[in-house]
Amino acid sequence: MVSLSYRQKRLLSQTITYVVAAVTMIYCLFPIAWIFITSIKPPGAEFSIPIEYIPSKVSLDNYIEIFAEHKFHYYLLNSLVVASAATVLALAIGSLSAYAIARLRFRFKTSSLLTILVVGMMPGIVMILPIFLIVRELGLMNTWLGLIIPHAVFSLPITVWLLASYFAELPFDLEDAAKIDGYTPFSIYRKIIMPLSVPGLFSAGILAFIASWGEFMFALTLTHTIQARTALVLIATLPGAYHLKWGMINAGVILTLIPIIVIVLVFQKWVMRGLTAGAVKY
Amino acid sequence: MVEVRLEKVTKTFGKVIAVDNASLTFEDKKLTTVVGPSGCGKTTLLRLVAGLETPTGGNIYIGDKLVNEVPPWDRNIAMVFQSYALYPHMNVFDNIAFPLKAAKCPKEEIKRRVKQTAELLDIPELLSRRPRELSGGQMQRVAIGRAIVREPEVFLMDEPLSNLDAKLRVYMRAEIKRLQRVLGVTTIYVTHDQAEAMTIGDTLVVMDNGAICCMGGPETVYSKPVDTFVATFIGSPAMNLLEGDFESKNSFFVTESLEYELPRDVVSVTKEKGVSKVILGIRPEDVTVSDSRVPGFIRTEVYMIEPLGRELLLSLKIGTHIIKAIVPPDIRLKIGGDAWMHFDDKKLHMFDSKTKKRVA
Repeated sequence: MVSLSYRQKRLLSQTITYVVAAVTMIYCLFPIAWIFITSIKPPGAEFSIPIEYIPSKVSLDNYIEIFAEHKFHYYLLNSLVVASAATVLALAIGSLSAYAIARLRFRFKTSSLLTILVVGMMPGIVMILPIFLIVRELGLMNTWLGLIIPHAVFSLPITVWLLASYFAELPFDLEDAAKIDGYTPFSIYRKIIMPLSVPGLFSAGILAFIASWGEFMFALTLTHTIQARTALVLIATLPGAYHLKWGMINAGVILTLIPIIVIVLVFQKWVMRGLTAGAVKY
Repeated sequence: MVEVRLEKVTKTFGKVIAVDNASLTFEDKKLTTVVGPSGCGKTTLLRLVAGLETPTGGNIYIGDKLVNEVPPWDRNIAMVFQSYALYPHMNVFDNIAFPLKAAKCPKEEIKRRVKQTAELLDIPELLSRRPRELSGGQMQRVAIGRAIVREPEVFLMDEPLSNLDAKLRVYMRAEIKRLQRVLGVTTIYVTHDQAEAMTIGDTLVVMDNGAICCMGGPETVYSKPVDTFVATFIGSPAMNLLEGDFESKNSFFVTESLEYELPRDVVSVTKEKGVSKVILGIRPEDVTVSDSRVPGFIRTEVYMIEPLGRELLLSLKIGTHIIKAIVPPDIRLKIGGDAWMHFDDKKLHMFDSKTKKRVA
């Protein structure tokens, strides 16, 4: 056995750390890189052999085609509207109920929290038929609202849990002080609780947005046409019976990914905080 | 300005009785301190007056108005919290202005009053800072500023000094007393620190187990404690208590290891009340100690000597009793040696052993 000096040991452990990190990165990023590379190849070149890891010819034809042929911007708009509205709705309802759970003393508090958790863990497929029927009866099939409401509902459990743990960390004294300073509970909620919870709201909101943006099954079931169908669902329906336009599909995937990447990069600070909410005091 | 009156107020949390049938009046324009060990219900009492808790029974009046059902935001009171409870997302100006904004004060007036308050508290240079950029003492001042800016009818202070270091605490103590004099607002001040309660209060209320033990001027509470709890709680080091028998024949106080001849006035009162089992109380500063034999003094063993700087705290042992005494530092004693002690006859306290109430 070769005995290593402290320095060598440290070097070795650092090397191992970097190797593991690199392997993980490649594992995660390779599919996305591959999709991107395929999307910028000229149409037809995606199947060329030998495989070109670095395309010899770069073309934006796939991107142009998906906008021209399928009016992809409308689908992106649908996704954006549905995800934003579902997020706002989930935050509005979720923050109020989280505040109640964090602050009020009432019977069945634990059981209601657990119920919320159980509902949140229920697989969507279980609920798809009843929700399909409800949305149809309400006449909301193939509308934004028909998708916004279920998406908001699915984001509620995580929103409530996250915000409840966030609110629980805010000191009671602040609310008592504001009451004595002459404010009613609802204005305290607006002037004290909301401003102090901005990071928590952001992190819950981002999670809700991503969940809605990436949701497939309900979007597929509840929307049919360009009026309400989301970008993700369109991409899934692109393969036709007689042709498979890989390049265009991949261009759509990249376009769908961009908003999410931008959001996460801009708000990553809050996402990280949201994930560790309740773990430490700050 | 107004007085605050409590009539048979009770507050329970489940089975716990936090405040038990409390009746008292906080006098107009006076600073009343409420003191007691932690968990005695003093903070709950304050929160009841603030309206943050509703009484389970009894009535609370602010001035002539029954306020049981009045929410805190309609009571025109101000409170300083132990944690200061400054709003972290607002700067000092907005913190102080917050109650004025609730009252829909015009902007110009808010500016003027906040400035005036900041000057009174000597913090005008801090107005644009955030609470997290302030020291404890500065936060304390801002919290007081937020309370006084609205000119409330009643001030409530919940252990406002307990988060400050010792030196600053003594300074702020005087400062609060001064402010209260200047503003002349009825003030209720809660603390667990009996020294703070004594020095700051015009009136002292002692609480234990949710009940009001006594109320009065600090000197009266100190010199004539109503029962053994008040006797030991107020004053530091605590009063010495010796349990024993009162022998009316020869006017002696007798325990297993001590016999002490009682002065005539104590004897006559005790006789009148017909009590035989008694507790004798004497404050450490009322025990005279000599390092040499003096006629009439009792011989004891020096058990412990603790220098306090200006004086010495002695623990003297007689049989099973340990008696604390405060003496000048020039006395020549050593641990294990002999000391002679005598109680100041005018400062003796006599309590009934059964009821723990004061006899004489």
